[in-house]
Amino acid sequence: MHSSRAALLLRTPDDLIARLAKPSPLLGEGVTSLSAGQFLQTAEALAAKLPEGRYALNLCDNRLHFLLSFCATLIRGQTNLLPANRALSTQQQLLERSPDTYILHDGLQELAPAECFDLGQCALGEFTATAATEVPHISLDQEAAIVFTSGSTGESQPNPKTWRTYVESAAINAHYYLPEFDSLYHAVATVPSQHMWGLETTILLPLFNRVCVLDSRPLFPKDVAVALESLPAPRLLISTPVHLRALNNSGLEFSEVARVLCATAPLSPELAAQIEQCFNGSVQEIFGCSEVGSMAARATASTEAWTLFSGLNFAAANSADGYAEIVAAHLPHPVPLQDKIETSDGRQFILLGRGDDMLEIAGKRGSLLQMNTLLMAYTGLKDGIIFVPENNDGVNRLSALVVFNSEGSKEGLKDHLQRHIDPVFLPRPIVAVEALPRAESGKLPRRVLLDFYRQQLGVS
Amino acid sequence: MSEQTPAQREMAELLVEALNLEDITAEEIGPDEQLFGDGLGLDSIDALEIALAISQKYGVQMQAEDEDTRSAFATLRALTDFVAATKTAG
Repeated sequence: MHSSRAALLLRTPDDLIARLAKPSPLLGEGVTSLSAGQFLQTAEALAAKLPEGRYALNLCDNRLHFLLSFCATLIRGQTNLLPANRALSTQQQLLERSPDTYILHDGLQELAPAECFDLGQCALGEFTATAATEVPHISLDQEAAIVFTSGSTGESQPNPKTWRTYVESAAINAHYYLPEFDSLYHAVATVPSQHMWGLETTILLPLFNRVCVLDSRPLFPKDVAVALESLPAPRLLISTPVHLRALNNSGLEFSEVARVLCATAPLSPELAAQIEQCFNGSVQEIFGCSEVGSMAARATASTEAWTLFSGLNFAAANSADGYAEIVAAHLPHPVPLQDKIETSDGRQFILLGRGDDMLEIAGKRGSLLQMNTLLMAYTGLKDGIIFVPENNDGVNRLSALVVFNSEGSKEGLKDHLQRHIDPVFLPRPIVAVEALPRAESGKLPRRVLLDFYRQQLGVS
Repeated sequence: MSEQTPAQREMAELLVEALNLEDITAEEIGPDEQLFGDGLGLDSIDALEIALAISQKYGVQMQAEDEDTRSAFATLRALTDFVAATKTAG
């Protein structure tokens, strides 16, 4: 039998849950870290100050601000809306979708017209110490958050999750994230809290496990080095292949990291091995998607096969064509995977890759078909195509070959695309040509396209 | 639009090469044009690429935690000045 509520956090009151890279006005000058007990007091105090509203569009950049406001909204029975980015157009889109929404932020300049609550302007004052705050219990059926993934056309896809889903998946995930459970890990993450990967690793993980998370989000390798050095061992680094590649190529020396967790895009075994050497620790790659969250893990430096998390299963009926569905007690319905898989025992599996249409760049998913539809919606074009060029070892970007008519221009096309496509999907370069090398049938085989593209680059 | 200095031209060439910006040439990047957001439309992945190229070429490590670097990335002029100042200070 399930009880109908579950604790907001499961930590010993004096165990550290967060460290501050610099003072937060919310907590006052002298505060450099928060124990679970202090955290709870602060979250309760914040909950009492939050505006009314069914939804809180949570744009907090600082991780501790996010962690506090995430918990405070849950205490208030509100639902967090977590956008794929903090752009004004994204804010407006979510406000239109859910009118009973206020914006929760920590000093963001560009804000859509709505009720706004700025954590940076809010002082909660001293901890009242002594009296242990009772841990609030949240209804398992409460809609805790809706994570939005950006579609290639900019239209956000909602992934609503109940508190039950988060509590039960967090318990499973921890077994694969953490090498062992006794020590207090200090975590640095390069990913935003609003993204599913960041939410699971930097928000839910510390609520239920002995993890103390640093509040800053370092970007450059030097930032990461400084952040790691500021923390005691054992350390945890939560990141993505793009960030890890930059760290590996920086030539910097890093403090030891017991466990590096990587997700959002495929990690090569070579880079995984280099990262293990660089940090003198183990690299665990996690496979997941916004609909399910984390679902499988592998030690990429030595293993190709993924291990499906216990508690999750493939729905066998759908695996004939290579695609499978994921079922789990904490998921309300089966979730179809975007990748083809191959499995002999239903637990270990090999990823065979995406369907041809699906793209993933910087953790964002898009459809090539939709982007091409958008491209051709530009009235200044006779013909054109957006495509994935051959991998040149760097970050994968899309390219476009276009044939302008008399009204068309590169600037006009860029404006058009920028209005509708997430920046990571904007084709670069856009190469203007006289005509595309289409066959008489109108088809444009990939091999022909790539040869033609290479020639064009050589000419220009 | 003001003229690029030789140091700015060198930095512009580094940007174009590091980011594969084949549809804009180094001389087309204005010293005060916004590199991110609406201007050149660069994003945080590009910022990492730029930081890597700068560390390899100039031996300067970018840091975003301090406000200096955040503003250093705004324009070609600011980026060039930041690298020159940091090289001297280092």
